[in-house]
Amino acid sequence: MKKYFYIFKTAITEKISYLLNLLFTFIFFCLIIFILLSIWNYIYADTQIINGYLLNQVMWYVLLAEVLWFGGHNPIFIDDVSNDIKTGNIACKINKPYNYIFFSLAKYLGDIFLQMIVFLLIGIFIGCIFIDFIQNFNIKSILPIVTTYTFGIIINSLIYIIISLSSFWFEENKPFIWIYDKIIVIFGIVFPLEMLPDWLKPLTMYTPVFVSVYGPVKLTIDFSMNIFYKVMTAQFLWFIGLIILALYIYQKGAKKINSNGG
Amino acid sequence: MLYRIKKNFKILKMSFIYNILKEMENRGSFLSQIIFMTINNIFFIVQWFVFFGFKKIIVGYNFNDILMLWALVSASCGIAHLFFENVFYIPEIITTGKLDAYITQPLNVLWNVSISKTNPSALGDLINGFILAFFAVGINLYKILLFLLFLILGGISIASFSALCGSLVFWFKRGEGIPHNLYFSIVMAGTYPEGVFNGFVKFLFYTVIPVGFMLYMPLKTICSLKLTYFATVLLFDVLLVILTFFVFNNGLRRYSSSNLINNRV
Repeated sequence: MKKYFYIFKTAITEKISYLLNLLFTFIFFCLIIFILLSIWNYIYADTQIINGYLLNQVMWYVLLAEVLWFGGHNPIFIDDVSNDIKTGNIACKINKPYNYIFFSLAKYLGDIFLQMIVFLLIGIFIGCIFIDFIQNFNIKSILPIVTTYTFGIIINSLIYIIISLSSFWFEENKPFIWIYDKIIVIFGIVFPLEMLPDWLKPLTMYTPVFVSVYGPVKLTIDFSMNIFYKVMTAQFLWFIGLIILALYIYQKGAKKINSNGG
Repeated sequence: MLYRIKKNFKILKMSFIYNILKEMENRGSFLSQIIFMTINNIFFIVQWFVFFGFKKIIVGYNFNDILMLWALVSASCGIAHLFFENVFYIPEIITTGKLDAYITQPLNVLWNVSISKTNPSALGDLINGFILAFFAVGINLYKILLFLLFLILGGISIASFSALCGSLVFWFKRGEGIPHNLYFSIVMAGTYPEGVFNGFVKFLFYTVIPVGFMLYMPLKTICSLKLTYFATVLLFDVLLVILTFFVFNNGLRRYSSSNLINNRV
C-alpha cells in the first residue's frame, strides 16, 4: 500500500509544476458554469419548480456535477495508459513490483487530487456568491457525502482505466471514451436524472451516471439516509465489479503482449 | 502572389490526399472513428430535447435554430480538424522540438505544420453537420449554400485561432493546456444560444473567445437571410489569419531546437 501512496504523492508533485495549465482549466470551468447557470436561470424565469427541483437545487446540482467532472477528468493519463499498451512500453512496467492496475489507479488519483480540491473550493465559492447557500444543507451529512464523492471518483477512474486497457485489442479506443464522456455529461451533468423523459430514467439508474455523478450530488442538495444507502450499495457493487473486471482484462491482455527489444 | 497562393493550395490538396490515404491504411480504425464521432455528436441533441420540453422558445431560438447552430459548430470543427489537424498539436510540437523537421523545408513553417496531419473522426463531425443542417433547413438551396460558405470560413477561423493560441507556447513554456482550453471554450460557447449571455461574457465572446464572429454571426445570416454580417465575418477571418501568421513568426524567433532526431513521414 505504501508504494501506491508514493506513486499518488509523486503524481501530485508533477501536477503542481503545471500551474498555468490548471489556471486556464479553471477559467474554462467558470465559463461552462456560467453558460449552464444562465440557461437554467432562463428556463426558471417563469416557474418556481420543475420536476421537484427548485432553481437553487438545479443550479447547485449542475455546479457540483461540473466540479466532479472537471476535477476527476484526466485525459492525458487516459492517453498514457493506451500509449503504454500501443507502444509496448507496458512491457517495462509489467515486471515492476506493483500491480499495473493499482499503479494506474494511484497515479490517476494523484493526478486529479489537487485539481479536485481546488475545483471544489472554487465551485463552492462561485455557488455561494452567485446562487446562495444550498437549501436545507445539514453539516452533519458531510461525512457520508464525502464518502460517496470519493467512491464516485474512484469508479470513474476505474472505468477510464478499463477503457484504456481495451487498447490490448483495439487499435483506436478513443471512440469508447467519447461515448462514455457524452453519457456522463448529457445524462449526469447538464441536468439531474429527474429531468429526463420517463422512459429513460430507469435505464440511467443502472449506468455509471448514477454512482459517479448523480448519486453523490443528489445527496448534497437533498440528503436522506434512504438515498445514501442506495447510492453506497450501488457504488460498492460497481467498485467490486470494476476491480474484478480491470484485473481480468489486464491479465488477459498482458498475455497478448509481444514485445521486441530495442 | 497569386502563384504562391495557387502553389500552397496545391500542396494542401496533395497533403490532404496523402494524409487521408495514410489514415485509411487501418480501415477498421478509420471507419470506427467516423461512425462513433457522428453518434457522439448526436448525443448532444438529447440535451436540447429536454430543454425544449420546458420551453418552446429559448432566448429567441427554436429547435431548428439550435440544430443549425450545432450543424455550424460541428461542420466548422470538422473542416478545421480534417485539413489542419496539426494546429491543435502546435504546443506539443514546439515544446518537444519537433518543429525542426518543418523549419528545414522550403515552405512557410506554420502552413507546413498545419496541413501535415488529418483527423479521420473529423469526417464524422462533417457528416453530422450536414445531417443536422438538412434537418434544420430542409432543401433550401440558398440556406445550404450559405451554410457551406460559413462552414469553410468557420473551419479556417477555428484552425487559425487554435494556431494563434498554440503559438503562445513560444512564450509560456509550461502552458500546453492553454490552447486546448481556449479551443473548447469556443466549442462550448458556440453550442449555446447567444441570447443567454450578456454584459462582460458577451464582450468576451466577441474579443478573447471570438465565437461571436465564428458562429453567432453566421447563424444570424443563415436564419435571417440578411448578408449584413457576411462582410464582418470575412474581414474577421482575414485579420485573424494575418494575426496568427504574425504571432507565430515572431514566436518562431524564440524557438530553440532540442536536437531531437525526427523525420516527417
